[in-house]
Amino acid sequence: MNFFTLFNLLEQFDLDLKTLEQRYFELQKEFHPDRVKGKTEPERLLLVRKSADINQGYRTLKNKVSRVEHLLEIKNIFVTREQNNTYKPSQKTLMLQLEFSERIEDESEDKEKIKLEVKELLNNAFNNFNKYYIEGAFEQAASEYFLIKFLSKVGNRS
Amino acid sequence: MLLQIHEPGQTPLPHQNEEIAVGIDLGTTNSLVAYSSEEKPFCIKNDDGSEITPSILIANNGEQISSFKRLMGLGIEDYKNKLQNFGFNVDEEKSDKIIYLNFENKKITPVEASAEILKKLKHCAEKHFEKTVNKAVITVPAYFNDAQRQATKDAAKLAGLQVLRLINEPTAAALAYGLDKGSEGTYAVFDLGGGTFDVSILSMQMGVFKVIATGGDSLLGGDDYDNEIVKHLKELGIRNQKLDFSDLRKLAKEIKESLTEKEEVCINSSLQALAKQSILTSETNSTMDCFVAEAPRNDTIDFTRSKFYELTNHLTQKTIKIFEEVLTQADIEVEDLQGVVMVGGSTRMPVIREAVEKFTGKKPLTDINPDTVVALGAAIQAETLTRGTNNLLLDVTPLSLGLETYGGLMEVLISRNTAIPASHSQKFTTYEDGQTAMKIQVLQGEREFAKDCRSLALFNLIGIPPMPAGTAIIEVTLMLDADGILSVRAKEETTGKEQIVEVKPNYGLTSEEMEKMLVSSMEQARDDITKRLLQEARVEADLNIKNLKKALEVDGELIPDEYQNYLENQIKKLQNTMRSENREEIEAGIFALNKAAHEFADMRVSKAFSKYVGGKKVSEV
Repeated sequence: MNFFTLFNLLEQFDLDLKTLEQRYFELQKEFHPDRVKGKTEPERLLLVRKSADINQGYRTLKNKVSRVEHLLEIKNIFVTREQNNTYKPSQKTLMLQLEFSERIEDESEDKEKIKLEVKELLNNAFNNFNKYYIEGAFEQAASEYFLIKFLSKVGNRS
Repeated sequence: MLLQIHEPGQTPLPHQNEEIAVGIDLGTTNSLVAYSSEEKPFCIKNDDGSEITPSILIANNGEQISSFKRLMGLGIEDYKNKLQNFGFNVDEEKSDKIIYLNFENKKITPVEASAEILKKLKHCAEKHFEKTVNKAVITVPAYFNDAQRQATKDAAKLAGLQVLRLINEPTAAALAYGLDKGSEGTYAVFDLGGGTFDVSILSMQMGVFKVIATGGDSLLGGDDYDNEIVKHLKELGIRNQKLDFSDLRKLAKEIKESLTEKEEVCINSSLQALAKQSILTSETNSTMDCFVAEAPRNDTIDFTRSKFYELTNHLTQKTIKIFEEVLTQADIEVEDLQGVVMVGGSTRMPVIREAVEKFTGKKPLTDINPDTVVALGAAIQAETLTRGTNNLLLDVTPLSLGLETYGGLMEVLISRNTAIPASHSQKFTTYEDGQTAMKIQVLQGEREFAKDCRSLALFNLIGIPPMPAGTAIIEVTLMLDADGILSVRAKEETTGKEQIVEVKPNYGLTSEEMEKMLVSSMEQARDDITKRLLQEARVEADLNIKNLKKALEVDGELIPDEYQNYLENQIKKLQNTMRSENREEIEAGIFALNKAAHEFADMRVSKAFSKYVGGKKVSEV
């Protein structure tokens, strides 16, 4: 399912969270089980699944990392652990991974400083992803995904 | 203020033919029933003229059981681990996956005990409206797991109530509070009841109440504060042969409540106060002198608020710690909260209010009655579900749901604080040649190892076609409905054979036990039950026919004439079957009709959806 279609949004990384939420509420006001009256039993069951899909769509698009995964998925590029066996992180990402795991272990490092650095790198990665995606350079976009995935993990940990 | 008290005769009565749907707060200590019309909810009084009905069963011989909500959906192991000090009269021999209490020379389950309370409330509402009431929205602690929710639904069934929806207590409170105050923004609801603690973070805006995160402890409440006092009294040497545990609990409660207003109480006077209210039996009353004489000091013991703080500080800190964790999960800073709504009788304790204020830096919102607000919210939701309002509740599941994987690990499929309804599919394959069955264990909880999580269901998937290892692919779908209750579907991909797995709860009543209880709860002949069930099946058949007819009227042109004729024939068939005296035949007829109408339903839903997503078939989106 293409959640951008479901929420009537452009297939791109940049997205207005207010609009997303507004569309989410509109859809749920129509399809949430609480709002559905006088339906036949099979319709009711279908609608519960729809409501679950709408919830999943909202969650997927709201979070930047899962939004990136979904953008790739709708181009038939599967990067998540369960589905992927084609795409690999770049050498640059692997080096960064090594560097940060050492620095996080290091007692003398200023953790706040690392946090800020990671934040900036992550913002850059999102920007790059966005650029590649719009250009249709999906391979590069996929490569950028691994960097995003790693940096957001570090960001949550520190 | 939302809460309106109506004089008899002035109550806005529902329309003549409308079915009444009430909101019920089924609490650990107290329960309430409320009704809402045009978003103006009010509580219905019981026979004693009170809005509050104690969740206590009293036998003819004076024997009582209370706080049984704490045992809902639990097995004997849970009881032994956590609740053994609560003075429940549990039959440990008979109890296993469900607990049996000794009461009035009988064995009674917490589900049956709760059903008795629900019956009382149903009766209050029926007396008020002078007509049958059989639909309700019932509130549960947000932190209730699947077994606890299922147990609540079972209790309602025994009481003859159809549950329109289970909603979470803090969410119900937010609904009533938000509509009343016109609040917009991000709020926390801090709900400390007699036996449960919940905290939820919600965003409220223009009729949409969206829960961002929820957490709590289904075994933490005001009762625990009482128990700390009881423990202390025992340590002081206050015990008396004739003063049993429940008397001590009453005394502790009295002390706790007095300390809400006073800085200090002396136990002697509170005992007298108890005697005056004739809470203590005359027998224990006469032993009071000796009770006091056994106390270390001459006649009284002073009990100060600061002593109470000291004894219960670990409990209060626990609530604040949970509050902090829920904020983290919601990704909300404490400064971003517009306010904290206090719910549940135990939030009257100054110790709680002070701790919340210290943590949030804001005065907690206490200008609503914490006892009634949950029931009022449930009533509003009952109105939404029956007559329709503009409100929408978007709630989350409090606990992660997953499957046991190789090595006894828990693999999360639906993580906690996911909006419900929610579904997730996972593919599995066979690991042996010719394997035709597969064991699947569904778990709920946040721990890494399966053994530390709650096992919801263990089932055997059978009928897999024999194939080489790794070639059969089975897709398992977990679905949480809007009540937070689980269902499981499994599909074998190569044959496309789908089976709906009926999840037998590991904890709780089996359908046979349920039926048996239903029969005994009716106090009528089995014949009447059969009649009631037959009548219910007919009503359901009628409803299904009505809805399908209406759908055909509106959208008949969506399908070819042959299909339409076929459906009309199916309707006629069920109309004939309905006259049968055989319930199972009617139920099979309903099933057949719904199966026949499935494709039509798909088209109708697609049509509704196309308004939003530009004319694609549902399954293609």
